[in-house]
Amino acid sequence: MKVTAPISRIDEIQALAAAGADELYCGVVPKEWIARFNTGAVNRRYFGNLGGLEELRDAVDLAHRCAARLFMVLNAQSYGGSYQDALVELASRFRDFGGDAVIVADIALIAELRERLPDLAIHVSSVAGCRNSAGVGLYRDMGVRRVILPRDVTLEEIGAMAKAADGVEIEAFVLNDGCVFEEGACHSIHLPPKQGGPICVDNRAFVYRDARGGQISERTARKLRENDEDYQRWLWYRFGCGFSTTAEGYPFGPCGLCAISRLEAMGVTSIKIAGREGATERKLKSVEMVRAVVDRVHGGGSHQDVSNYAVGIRKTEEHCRAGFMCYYPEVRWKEVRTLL
Amino acid sequence: MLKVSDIAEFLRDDAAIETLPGDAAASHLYFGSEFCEHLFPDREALGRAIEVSGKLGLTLVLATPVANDALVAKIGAAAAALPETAEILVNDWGVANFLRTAYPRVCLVAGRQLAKMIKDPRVPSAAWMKPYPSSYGTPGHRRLLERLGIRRIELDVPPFATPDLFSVAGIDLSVCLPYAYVAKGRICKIGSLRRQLPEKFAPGRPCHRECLGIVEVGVNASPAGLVSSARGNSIFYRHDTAMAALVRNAVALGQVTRLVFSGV
Repeated sequence: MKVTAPISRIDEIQALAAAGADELYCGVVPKEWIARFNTGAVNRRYFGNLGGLEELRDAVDLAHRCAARLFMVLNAQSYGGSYQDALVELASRFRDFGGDAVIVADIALIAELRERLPDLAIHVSSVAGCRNSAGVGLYRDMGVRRVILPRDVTLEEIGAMAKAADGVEIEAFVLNDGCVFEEGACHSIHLPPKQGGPICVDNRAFVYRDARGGQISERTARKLRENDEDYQRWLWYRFGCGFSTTAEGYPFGPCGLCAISRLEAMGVTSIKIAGREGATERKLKSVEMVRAVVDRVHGGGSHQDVSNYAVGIRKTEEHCRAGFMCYYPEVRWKEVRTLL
Repeated sequence: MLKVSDIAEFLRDDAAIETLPGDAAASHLYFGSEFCEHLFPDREALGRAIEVSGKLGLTLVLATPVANDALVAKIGAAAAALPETAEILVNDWGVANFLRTAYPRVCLVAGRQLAKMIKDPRVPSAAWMKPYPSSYGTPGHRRLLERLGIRRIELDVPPFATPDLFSVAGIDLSVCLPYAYVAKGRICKIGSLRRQLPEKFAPGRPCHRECLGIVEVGVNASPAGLVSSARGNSIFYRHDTAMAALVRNAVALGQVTRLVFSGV
């Protein structure tokens, strides 16, 4: 099982590889792109990108010298027709530099790249929202090498897709990404904080209404208020527990560490650490944590041993017990634990 | 055949009715859910929809959401029970791939969740809509539709939309109105209302469909004048007059050949 981690700067490569990352992924905003399109929107993030093609080439070389593979994200949900040639050109340059795969969300772009660059390795981004075996099959038939699953899938669903993957690699989330709405089904953008920020911080003002025009009972209103309070707590966990860390610097937030042994048993190829825009220290500590658990798995630990070890790393079991920090909370549900 | 007056009585939405051309007639009955795996109809409900659409002389369109393997199997069972004339609205490329393989004769329509575009009601100006243009109509998209045997796609109308939204040759266009949907997630706040704490806000848990009884109605308008509300796992907003006018014009030009009305 590979550990896949984000970089935003070339000087992160050596440290992350040394900490245990087998695979790295990056974005790039070439100067030529900005000149041509007057935007830095080459992928889903305006920030956290390498600064140009020279840097991209150097990043590929350095990653390979560190025995890591490097992927490049072209992961906007969609690109219009005017961008197609530039995207193919960028992917082609990356391939020529020796880059290992592009990560693409827009299925139309996947079809275009496959047609024009048949030897380009393509990974389907989590933003594509592939949630079933038939989807994996479609991408397999389109010639992709890997499908990165969205965050909100169950272990049982991952197992079914991995079983049916038939040669396609499967990657699953293990740390740090906190979108609330499914990336592939969210058609909004991250606005500046004053204008609302990401839509999923859910700071809309609203009132509950009975859909049939009646009155909401006092009992239901109370339950709704309590549920809203629980949801606010869940949002806090979802957004990295306020982007906090332990005293040792290990990040809190969305996490699937205790499920790693189960993911490995299902045949998952790689586990993904999200957060290209994050601080280098956060990335390093994330890789350290994931690598430690993977090593424990490779050392032959049982599911329960690995899970206990993973929960113990941050020494804050109360967060794990809350269940709100988990990508795969079912690991902790008695009724399904025996099935996994 | 149901005429405009019949549709008007059914919809009871004067502003939405204004979008209809005078010679409009009801042709299709949509049933199912585009947004939620828990709202997919059971066999009995689907049977009633088949019966009602037959009585009204309307073509049934079964709406389907993003689906896991278990739901894909249910969609397959439903497809087997549909009349030959029925269509299936897909919002998941995997579902489309499954149906094209298992039920090659079924007419598939690509739903609005598959027409990726910025639809954020909060954006203050048209400039915000430009960074990520939609990819429907690109060569890759056309190849994909051809591969899946899809000839019709459905669109939402985003804020600050321009007429080129509908300039897509060779693909039949439907437009959904009077509401546009901007975000959905699998984690559903109200769907967790009756769950115990450790199991709230997690995928794959049972749902009691609380969203059918309760809606979150937005209070404040965005700078563009749009109010975001939510039902279940989805955020939506109602078209403004400019958006409605754009649709009317596209219908008059023959660019849009189906209008899909829905409540919330």
